[in-house]
Amino acid sequence: MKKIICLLMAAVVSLFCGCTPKSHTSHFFAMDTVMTVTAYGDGAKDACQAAEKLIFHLASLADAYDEKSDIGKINSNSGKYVTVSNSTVEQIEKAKEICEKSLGDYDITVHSVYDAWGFTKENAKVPEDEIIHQLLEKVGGERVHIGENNTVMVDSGTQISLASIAKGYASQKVAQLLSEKGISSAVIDLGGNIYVHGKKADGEKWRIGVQDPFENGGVAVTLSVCDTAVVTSGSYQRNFTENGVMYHHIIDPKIGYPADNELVSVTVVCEDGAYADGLSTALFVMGLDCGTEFYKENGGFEAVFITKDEKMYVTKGIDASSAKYDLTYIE
Amino acid sequence: MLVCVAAIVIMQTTAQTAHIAEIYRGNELLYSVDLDAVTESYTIDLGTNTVRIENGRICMESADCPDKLCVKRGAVSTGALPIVCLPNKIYVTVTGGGSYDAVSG
Repeated sequence: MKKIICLLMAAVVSLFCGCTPKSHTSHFFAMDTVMTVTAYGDGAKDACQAAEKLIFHLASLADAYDEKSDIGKINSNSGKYVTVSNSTVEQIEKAKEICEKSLGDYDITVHSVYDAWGFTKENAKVPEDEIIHQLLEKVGGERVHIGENNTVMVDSGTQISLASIAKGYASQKVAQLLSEKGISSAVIDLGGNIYVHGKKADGEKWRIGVQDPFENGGVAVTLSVCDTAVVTSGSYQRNFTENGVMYHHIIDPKIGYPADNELVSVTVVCEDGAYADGLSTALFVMGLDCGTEFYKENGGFEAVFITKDEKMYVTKGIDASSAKYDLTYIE
Repeated sequence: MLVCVAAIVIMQTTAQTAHIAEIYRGNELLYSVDLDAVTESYTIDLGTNTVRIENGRICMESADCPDKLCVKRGAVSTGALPIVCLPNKIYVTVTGGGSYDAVSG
């Protein structure tokens, strides 16, 4: 009888443990946003701590406002090749690729124009037209050069920032790190820039919401995904109003003003986190029609476009049956 | 034995559905509050920000930051979409009860 009780107790304990997969969540501030990494399985805490350390390292390399960072060194030595880390070169290569593919709708050399708008400061304001025109002369993907042995140079006067790609790149690197540490299930949320690693502990796909641009805290559609990045660029994320006009932070590199088209947000789903990050910005600048053409010509990703008139346009690889707004599939 | 099993099942169910609010400054957990156990509304003064706790929900009542995005965020009762005050590095999240594993935005 005692044996039976012991076995039953053991079974219950095992059931109890089995229902609650080991997990650990780390919250921290980095890259000007709040980040959350949740890992499941043995070693989750160590893996999260390693992830946090990696993100702080990547953030320190990409900080455009720190002259000692890789980007700070490139910007303060324009006209000369500077030796930087491999991760910085990888991000710049990816940024150049997106810049070329998007015909300049995405461009990391728009940094000085972005800075003039003051989105990173407390008092954002519309710059003088003359200033924008002067700064635009130094904008252009062809002004960034990758040399041999991890060297990078920007042409004289050109300034770059990795802010539009660094979080996506970091999320992907964290997923790789977690995998190396034996973690097969994790959610990496770098300020709404998501990477889901593997599947949930119960084998199901992750449920990732796309923020509703029209309802603070709401969700416009829920995506079932695994092993992918989900990144959104939206005009609601960072903006200011001057003389009754709202100006958002996604600057069109060709005109130096916020991209003004029918879109309020673009979400990109693809395995390459850095590509998803940069591409969501590029597609926002392109607008719905050009973005749709880009998808048809290039493929390799899925996307959700939400327009100012509260409509959703979703690429055919996404199940958007939970869409909150009028839905059209892009074939 | 049956009592044990029932107790464990209840514990499990409670653990999965409890709404626990966690308030961080930077990387430090300042407060952890069981929102379901709140019977009377009260506030927590964080110096730069004031958080209001109510039964089942939490909101940023006031803040000295310039944009007040955290206050505009309103009350939250589930996870995935936290309340964030970037200037003051305050972060409020609710565990349990959410329909999403994360939200992209």
